[in-house]
Amino acid sequence: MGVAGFIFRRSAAAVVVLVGLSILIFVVARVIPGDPARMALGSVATPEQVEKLRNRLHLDESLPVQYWEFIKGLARGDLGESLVTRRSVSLDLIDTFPATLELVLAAGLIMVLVGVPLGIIAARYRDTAIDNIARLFALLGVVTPSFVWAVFLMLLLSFVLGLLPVAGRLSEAFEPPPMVSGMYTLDALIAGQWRVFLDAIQHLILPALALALAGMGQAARLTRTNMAEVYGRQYVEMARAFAFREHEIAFKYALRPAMIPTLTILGLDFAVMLGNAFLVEAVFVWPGMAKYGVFAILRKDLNAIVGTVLVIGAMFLIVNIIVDLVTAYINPQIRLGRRVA
Amino acid sequence: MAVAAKPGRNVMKRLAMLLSLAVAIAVLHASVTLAADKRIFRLEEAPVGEIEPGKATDFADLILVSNIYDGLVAPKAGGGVQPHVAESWTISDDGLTYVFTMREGVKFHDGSTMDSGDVTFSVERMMTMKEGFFFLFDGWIESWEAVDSQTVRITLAKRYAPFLAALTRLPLVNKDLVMANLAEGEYGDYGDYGEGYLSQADGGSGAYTVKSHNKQDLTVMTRFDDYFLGFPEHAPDEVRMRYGLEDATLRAMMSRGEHDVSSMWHSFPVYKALDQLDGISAVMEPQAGGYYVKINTQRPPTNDKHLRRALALALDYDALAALITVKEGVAGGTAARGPIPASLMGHDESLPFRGRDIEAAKAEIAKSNYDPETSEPVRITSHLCCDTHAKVALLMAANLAEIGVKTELQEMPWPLVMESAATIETTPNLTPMVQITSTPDVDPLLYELYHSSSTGQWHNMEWLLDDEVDALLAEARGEMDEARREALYKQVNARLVDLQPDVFLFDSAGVFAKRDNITLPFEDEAKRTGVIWADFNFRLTEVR
Repeated sequence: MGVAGFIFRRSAAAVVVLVGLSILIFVVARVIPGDPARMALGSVATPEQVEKLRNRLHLDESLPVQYWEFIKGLARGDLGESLVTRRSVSLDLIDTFPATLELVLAAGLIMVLVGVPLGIIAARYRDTAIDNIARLFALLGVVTPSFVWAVFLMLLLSFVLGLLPVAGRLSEAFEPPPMVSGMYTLDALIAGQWRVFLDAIQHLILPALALALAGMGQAARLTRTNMAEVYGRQYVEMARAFAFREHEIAFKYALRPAMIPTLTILGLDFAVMLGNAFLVEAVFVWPGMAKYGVFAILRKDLNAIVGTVLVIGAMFLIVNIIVDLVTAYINPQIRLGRRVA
Repeated sequence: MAVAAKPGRNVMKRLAMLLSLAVAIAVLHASVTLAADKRIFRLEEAPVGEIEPGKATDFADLILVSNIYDGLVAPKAGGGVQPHVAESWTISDDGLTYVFTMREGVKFHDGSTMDSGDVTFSVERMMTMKEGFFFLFDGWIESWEAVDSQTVRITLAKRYAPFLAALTRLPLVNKDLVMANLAEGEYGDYGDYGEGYLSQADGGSGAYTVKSHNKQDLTVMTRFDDYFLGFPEHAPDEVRMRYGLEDATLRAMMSRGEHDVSSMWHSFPVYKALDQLDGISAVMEPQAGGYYVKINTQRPPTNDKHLRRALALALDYDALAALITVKEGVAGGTAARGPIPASLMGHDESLPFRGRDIEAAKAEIAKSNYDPETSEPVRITSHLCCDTHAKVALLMAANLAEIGVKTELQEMPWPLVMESAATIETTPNLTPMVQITSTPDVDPLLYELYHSSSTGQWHNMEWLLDDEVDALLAEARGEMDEARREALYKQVNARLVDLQPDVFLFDSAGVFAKRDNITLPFEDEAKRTGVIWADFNFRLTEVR
């Protein structure tokens, strides 16, 4: 099976998963205690006002009817109206998703650019002081929740040292760049607004770092463990016997096979971060989708809950497909959808 | 096999490293030129911020809408209402017809001039959409008409003394702008009545106009230079309202001068910590409301008046006051004398402040039917919004144990608190809660708290169902003579003190942390209204 066939097969499976997910989350969202119409209208709404909204949202209908109404809307690309923001959930997600994606991409970049080299160094100098320091650093990253990192980094780098801004995506002095992707760094580059780009990067560093630290530690540990195993193989011994340089052995012969499990985990981490970013977004006042999703759950904003979960689910599936493709590229022995004899 | 190093490659690597370092340094030290000549006022509220004037009900919404829109009348410092867009009005002898004469030359933000057609359209919109504060007018307004371009007549179905105060909750919208931006909706020819448009843009004439609005993140407003009342010297040029800052974030932002005023939803230890920082102070806004412990008067064992009195007498008010005190003169409330706070009509100065008297509490227990062996435990529920409620609940449980009353503590998220209020059986025995009047009048506060028509909702967890209170409240509503009306509310007050449907903990107050270069309107008693949205009048805020 070629790449196109693989993508088609996995995409078809993804659609089935998303339908199942939509049913599941549709039901779960409605099981959360509390009347969504009452919560949406606030504390001063009369019973008549609440009833009117319930009718409008079909909340007085049976679950299958409600789901059918949702599917009809979805077919038109309409995820329904948010009970909290009182506008289309699709529009809300268009506004918030790029912010989270930008944050998660930056965090992913840090995970790869710092975590993997750290693992390589630890493996190269395994069982030495360098390895132990790298281990400590990695474990600290893994065991400390990202919101603790968020508060710690904010207090250290913003409050005490004053190096980086505390919150938001841009300083008050700047207007957001013209929207293309919704990611300020990218859009600022496209528009050639360098000062906006630098300001956006400044605002991105702390939340991305806080979000990345756990995954970074995991990537470092995985890379180190897998590379250490590869270092024990005969072909590495042979490369040494042929006086290959250490860095060449590391990058050319040890890292490549060791990267496959690391890559799989990094892919999963990336998708998980989309949903887990909410605490970091809350601390850094980052107007992203993860915060929007959690807020939707707290306010029982039914359509927003379903919409957010579907987007995260879709991203999870897409990232998995990409990881499979990259894995196959790295290791030609793995063929897409075909067993190797 | 050794591979020779390529000199060119090494040079490139070093160049790349130097470039990365340069970018990193540039990023860390990129200078941001803030508009120093612009007075920016940054405040915080709980999410979300609703700017659709027909729907606004929460604190954030009301602060926004009252600064973006104008009303015929406005809350007056010290209580009551004052002329605003209406420069004067007359009330017919039967109290049913109000004729308002509007100021000339009031401009909307799009430059058009407001006239009586905009006022009648705003009334019609509220009465048709039936959202937000519609309930203040429901059943009262019978008709409305534009007499001429500057005169509006509103006729009531019944005499309604709090009508002028209710009008502070009727924002005036730009009819032409709304009609030009109708979308498909449920209101026939009026489509969605501009609901979609006004949720994202503004159609008002207020002192500030919306520049950008993200309901869960940030609303940016700039000053409207053609505002009919003009601007004091130190009024902000731009206002940025942020929603839901975490404690650590707030602290870091305020200390760096990136934020000016907190919301009142943080815990008291946070305000204490902020007050310790240089350039930041905690301030207090006395409000027209109370901090009550709502008592379910219909559910055993608190359906016994003597037990309710015993509960009120057993509480350690000094310890409770310590919980909500930030520093001397700044606290989440002041000592209460009864259900009606000091700033509202009907407050009785002759009543004593509540206080602890364990012997009297035991005497009341003796008169009651409460039996610690057989009676149900008193269920105390606090909602999870604020840790103060949980602390108050814990302290109450400890105090009640001293007089032999068994308690059961429970914490609930707000949705469940609202649901629990639906029936007598599900409403907890005791629920600490702050409740503030919806308008600058005592009527909405007392109706919501005690009138039988309001039962089944969170604000009426007392389930008082008392015919005498109902009759007095109804009579006071229809009484146009101020003195007689006040006398009626004093009767209500006395009756409520006797029935003890609440523990009247404090007259409520909001606590805020603010930077010292900011002066908020309520810091000056001459500007203070006791109504939170009016006390956050951006135009009267000073940024130095």
